[in-house]
Amino acid sequence: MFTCHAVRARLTPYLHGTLPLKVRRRVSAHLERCPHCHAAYVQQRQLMHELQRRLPPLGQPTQPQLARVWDGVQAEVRASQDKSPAVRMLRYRASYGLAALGLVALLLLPVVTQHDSASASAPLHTRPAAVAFATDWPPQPLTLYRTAASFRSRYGYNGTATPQAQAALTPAPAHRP
Amino acid sequence: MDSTPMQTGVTIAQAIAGDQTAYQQLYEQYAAGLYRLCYGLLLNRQDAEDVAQEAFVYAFKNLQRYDSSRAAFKTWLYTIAVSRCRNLYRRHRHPLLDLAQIFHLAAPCAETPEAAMAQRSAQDAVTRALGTLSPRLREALVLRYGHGLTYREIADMMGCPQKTAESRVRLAHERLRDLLQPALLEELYSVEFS
Repeated sequence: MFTCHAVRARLTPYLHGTLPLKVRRRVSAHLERCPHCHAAYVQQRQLMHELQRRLPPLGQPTQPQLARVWDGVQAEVRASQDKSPAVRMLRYRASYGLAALGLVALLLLPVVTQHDSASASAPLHTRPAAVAFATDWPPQPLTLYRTAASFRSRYGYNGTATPQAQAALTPAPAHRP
Repeated sequence: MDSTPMQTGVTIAQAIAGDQTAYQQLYEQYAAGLYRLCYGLLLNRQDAEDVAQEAFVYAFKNLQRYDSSRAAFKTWLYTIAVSRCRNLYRRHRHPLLDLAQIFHLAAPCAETPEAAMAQRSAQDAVTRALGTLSPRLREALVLRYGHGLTYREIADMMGCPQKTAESRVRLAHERLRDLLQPALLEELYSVEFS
């Protein structure tokens, strides 16, 4: 047999229908006999109906409110997508790639400009061999061949000047009037 | 209208794949309920808007972490919102009653100005009584009566055993009965039967 205290403690689950059948029957039997507990049960039931009626419309949002929240959601999600690790990594890679490209271009610039100035100068065969050798570094096979040919034509194979070269190098005697 | 879990699953998959309309679809489906939940817990319009927004942003950013085998999307979303609300009333300590909102509640089925006034008064009484409850009891009551959830769902959202959820609803019920009885319930019923 349940006491009044035990029944009052079970009124809410009794109203919600969550009590086991056996307990439910015992509570029902008590409520039929006890007018005080029955009055408490009626009050509790009224309150439950009132809450079921009053709470669902509480805080019903308006359309502008929902639109405002949606705008905020969209803005925050977009901002976070911009800051996502994948996008950040892509940006880092792009910036590092550009920096590396710039560095390489900077290093190649003097070589490219030097080569351009050398090729824009006088033709190779008219230049002295030493100048050609210095400006055309690293020497190309054709340049080396021409330099060697020029040396041979002047000094022969053993390094002594040929008679033609000596004649060409010896200044002509001054004619006396 | 509630869609089936399968439809929701398809919408979530589309959203993860980057479909913006899927995000909007999810928002339209759950926004009103989520806002009502936040308002019921915080009793303040501005805070409710902020928390609803935070909850959706978190959910959308972490959509790929949602596991449909563990809980319904609604349960997951509401759990996020309850957690955010807890953070907020830990900071505020006391709920801020938004009187402007309370006094502008619509009065359904009120044909005369007197009846409308009485309806508002009754609604205010319930809202004020709700504001005096502790956060845990308020959560249990709002989830049970405001959203008609089962004790299992309430327990999942509140992160407690089902029995604890049941006893919280019972305690909240008893606390409200003490607060609203007897004069107010009579007033409520005079409104209802007038």
